[in-house]
Amino acid sequence: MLEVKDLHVSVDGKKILKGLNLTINAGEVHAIMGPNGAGKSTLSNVIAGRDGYEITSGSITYKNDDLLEMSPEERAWAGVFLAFQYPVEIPGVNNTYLLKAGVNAKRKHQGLEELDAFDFMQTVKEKAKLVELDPSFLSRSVNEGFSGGEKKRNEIFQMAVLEPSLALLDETDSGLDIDALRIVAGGVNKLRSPDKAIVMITHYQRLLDYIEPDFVHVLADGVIQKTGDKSLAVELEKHGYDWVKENK
Amino acid sequence: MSVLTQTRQDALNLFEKLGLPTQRDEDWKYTDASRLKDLLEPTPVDENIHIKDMGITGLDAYRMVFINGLFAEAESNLPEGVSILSLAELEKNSVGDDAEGIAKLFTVDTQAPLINGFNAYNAAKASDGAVIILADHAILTKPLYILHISNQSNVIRHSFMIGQHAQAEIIEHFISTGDNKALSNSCSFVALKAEAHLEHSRIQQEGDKQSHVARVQVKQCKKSSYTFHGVELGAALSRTDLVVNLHGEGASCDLNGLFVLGGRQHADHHTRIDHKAPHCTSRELYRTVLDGRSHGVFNGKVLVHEGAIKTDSNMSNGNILLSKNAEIDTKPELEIYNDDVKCAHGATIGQLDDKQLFYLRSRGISAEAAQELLTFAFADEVLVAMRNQTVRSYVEKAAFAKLPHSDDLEEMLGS
Amino acid sequence: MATNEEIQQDLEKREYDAGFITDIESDTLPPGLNEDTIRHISAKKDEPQWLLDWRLEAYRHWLTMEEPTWAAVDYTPTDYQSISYYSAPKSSDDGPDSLDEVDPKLLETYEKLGIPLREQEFLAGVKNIAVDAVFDSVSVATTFKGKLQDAGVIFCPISEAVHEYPELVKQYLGTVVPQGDNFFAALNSAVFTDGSFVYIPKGVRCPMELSTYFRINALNTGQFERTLIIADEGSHVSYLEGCTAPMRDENQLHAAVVELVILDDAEIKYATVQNWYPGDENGVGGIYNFVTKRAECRGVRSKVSWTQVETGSAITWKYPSCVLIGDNSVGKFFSVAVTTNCQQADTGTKMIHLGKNTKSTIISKGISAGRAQQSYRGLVRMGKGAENARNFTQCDSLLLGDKCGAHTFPYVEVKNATATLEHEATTSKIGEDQLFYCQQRGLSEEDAVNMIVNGFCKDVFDELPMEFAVEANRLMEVSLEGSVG
Repeated sequence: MLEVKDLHVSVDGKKILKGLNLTINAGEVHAIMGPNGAGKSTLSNVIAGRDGYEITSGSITYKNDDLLEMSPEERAWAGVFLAFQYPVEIPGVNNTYLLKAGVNAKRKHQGLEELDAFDFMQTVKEKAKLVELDPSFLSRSVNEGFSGGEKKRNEIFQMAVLEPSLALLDETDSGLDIDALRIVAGGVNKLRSPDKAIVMITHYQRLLDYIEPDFVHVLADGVIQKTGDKSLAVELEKHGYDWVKENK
Repeated sequence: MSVLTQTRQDALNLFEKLGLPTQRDEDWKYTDASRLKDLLEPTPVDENIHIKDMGITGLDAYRMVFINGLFAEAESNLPEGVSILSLAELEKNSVGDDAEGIAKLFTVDTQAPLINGFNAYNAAKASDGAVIILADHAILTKPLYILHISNQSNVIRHSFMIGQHAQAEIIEHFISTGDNKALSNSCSFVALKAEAHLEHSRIQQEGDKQSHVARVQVKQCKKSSYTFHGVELGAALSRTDLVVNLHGEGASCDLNGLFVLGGRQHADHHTRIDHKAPHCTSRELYRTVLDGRSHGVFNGKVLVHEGAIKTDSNMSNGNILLSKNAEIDTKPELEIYNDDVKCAHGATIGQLDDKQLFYLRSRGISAEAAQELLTFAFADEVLVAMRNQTVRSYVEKAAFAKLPHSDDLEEMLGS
Repeated sequence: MATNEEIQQDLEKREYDAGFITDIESDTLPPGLNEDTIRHISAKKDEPQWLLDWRLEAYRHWLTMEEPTWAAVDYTPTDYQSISYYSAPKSSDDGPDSLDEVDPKLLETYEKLGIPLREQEFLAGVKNIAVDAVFDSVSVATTFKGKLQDAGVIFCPISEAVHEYPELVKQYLGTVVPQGDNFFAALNSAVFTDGSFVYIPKGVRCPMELSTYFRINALNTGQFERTLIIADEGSHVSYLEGCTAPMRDENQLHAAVVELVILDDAEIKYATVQNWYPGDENGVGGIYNFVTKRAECRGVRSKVSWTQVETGSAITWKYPSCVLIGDNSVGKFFSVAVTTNCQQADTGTKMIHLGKNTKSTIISKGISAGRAQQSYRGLVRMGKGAENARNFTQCDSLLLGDKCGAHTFPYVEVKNATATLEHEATTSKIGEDQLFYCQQRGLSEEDAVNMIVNGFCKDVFDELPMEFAVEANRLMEVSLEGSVG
């Protein structure tokens, strides 16, 4: 589904990713772990198409298309979803309106009829239940006045509604208490399917107790240093990141 | 000569003395009033005004309609037991004990801030207006909707007096028909007694040949609260002077303004808040969205007088230019003569937030639509404080229609 | 803890330690202004005809102008016929060739003020500063001329530059602030007596800080200095100016003009510590400081910054401005103004964005105490061609005492849809909770006030060169001295 090849990325002239390779197939769940400043968020932002990242070499292919040639909304239409580490507040823009506009833009792009308002609201209410989101959040402005945990939950809710093929969860677990983590993870697990892939970016092993990954990658110094299964995360927790660098 | 005739003659003399403001006056630096000179007097026109379906339909409200500056009683629907009168009626009966009181309604207070020739002209020539006297503790159960329709120059003068603990909502709406160049000259005087509350909206939606000059002067007693919503959508040139005197301890005002302009429209709001008593609060939020060759002017002045301790004042003014020929001039001013205050103001001009734009695009909304959506949201934030949802959605729709690509936007929001 | 009243009372006790008078014989023109006065000044300086004509043209223009009244200051108007327009220490008639020829009394004066004019005194120091000392109407000494010459830098009194570098002076004088720009600039153009001239050639980074120290001494004189700084392509200079005057009961006029020209990739940093005599606690005496300062960023990527610490003067009328013509040019304004007793200050800046991608920053901090009135008056204008222009403005006022005033008049005029601007302003009194917090942590009230005020001004002090930051801090402390009874 996603093929990242020898990706080099700089921000303001500073090299962040230095030849990163990553292959993700449909149905897989990947976890990317790594120390602060390793380039984890850079990777997710580059995949989603944020401005301000200079791709000096390498490629990203998504479902046989060159992802780097696509605008952020084209990527969204093609099924790429980023759950933001810091979801922005957008006063005045209604949460549900945003989703409806997003869903319909995608459908239009795919040559489908727009959803009728009633069906859409049914879907939305269903998905809100899935992540135990208070229905009052649906009519509020996007993320405005939400607590940290509510924002993260709102991200997963949006993911549920938009039904992406590839979901990138950028530190979705940080700032969540145990109950919220369980709910968010539950939501993500319900979205797992053979035709979807999930990439989780996280610092901590505890998220992986709730969402079991097929692969764990350690990203440090701009490259994937080590890849393994879930047990790698346990090792990491025990020994720290330096251990990985020493035992490449 | 009766007191009233004398008062109006004085106003005319004052007008002749003051003349119309020029751009040499600091308060008119960015607005050229000279082109309104020939529009002061009405040039009668033949066409009739059909008021059916005009204004905010579906609004559950008491209603006063003024056609070319004259009260149209047949079109109106007034509450019982509340004193809502036509100024012209009052004037006709201005004899005996009330004479002085009625004359007062036409007095120009030359000491008040931002007084100019238009105000004097208004006092001299006003043809009619609403005089609303709400008794102490009275509550107007429905909003009072004052619709002004014109196809020629008109001069209107309202007075709203809200008694102690009384509450009301008043919506002034200005529309025009026909293609004539004309000028609406409007003054509204608001007096709020102790702990009175008034929510006052002014929606200016006149035709693009029309010009509009307005003065809203508010005096607030102890613990009264005043909420203002000024919406500028219409007219070729409009100018509003909003003057609030926080006279009694603990009074508060909340002033909201929204301009959505295009073409060659020019709108100017000068607001002035005088904090004269301790513990008063003022809030001000003004936003402009300017397209085409339009020109917006905002001047917000807060003056904190000696002795007005524990003043809390906050002003925010945001502006977005959608076209390369649009122009904004803004000046948020503070004048403070006392140290026990907390005052702040902020002004911004410019582009939409990159982070918000990216967020929307990452959810599948096109770059163009995301910009429009954020522009709309930017404007709509001013309307959040508007409690009357019927009025709010009317204004939203009307403002919406003025934004470029409003069809796409409407489709997108499904509204 | 100190109430605001106490702090305010203590502020009134603030002393002016530069208030002494130098007893020196002066050559002073009798009061009065007419064309003969101007001819006389010009003749004294042996000026070329073109400059005399230029002055007379300015004078004739001035006669048609009216003194501006829009500033929020209130003062007895100056009688322009009662001022003497030229005063020079007698000994300097021919101009000193070396420091040895400078009247020892003058050296002593500058030493008292902490401005060393003897070059050897710097040898022990880490950093070198070249000083031009202007005493009343003339420059009495310029240090380190030789060392600067080696680098190709011209730093001399403007009266000397007229003779030595006439082409440069003629090319640039009055091109940033034209003769008829405003009432005070016109007056200055007619009667300016001295000031500094700086030229930094292409690609040169000035090897030391340049500094001019202005001192008004004589009675009934006005000081009308004119400074012209040109930074040629790719050059860099940091310039500092300081000002003091004796304590006198009469108001004295200071109407200076400063012109800065910045070409491609060049940078000028201009800092001022203005400590003219502010008058006594009843508002008697003090300097009227009516100054026109303007910088033109003519070249691409040129940069200018104005940093000012304004503690002196009875009346201040001053708006150092930046005209950003070159694409990608940058203008900055950092200001701390302290007004106490009866001082009045109306100060701020103008940022005129004309070029593409131009950027400006305005940080203004005002502290008002006693019966003082202070206004920030600013203009940010973004012209039609100013694509992607950016401005950030922050102006904060701190109030000490219920009889003082702080006012903000920011004008914003934008004609370009791609421009962005952010303006923020706050006014408040010194926070009682902040004071309490500091005291609870063991600070004395005085230290707490000092600390809070210093923190309030930090953004601006950080912009000052080290030497001036120390002086600025000292001045602030003097202002707030004895805030605990």
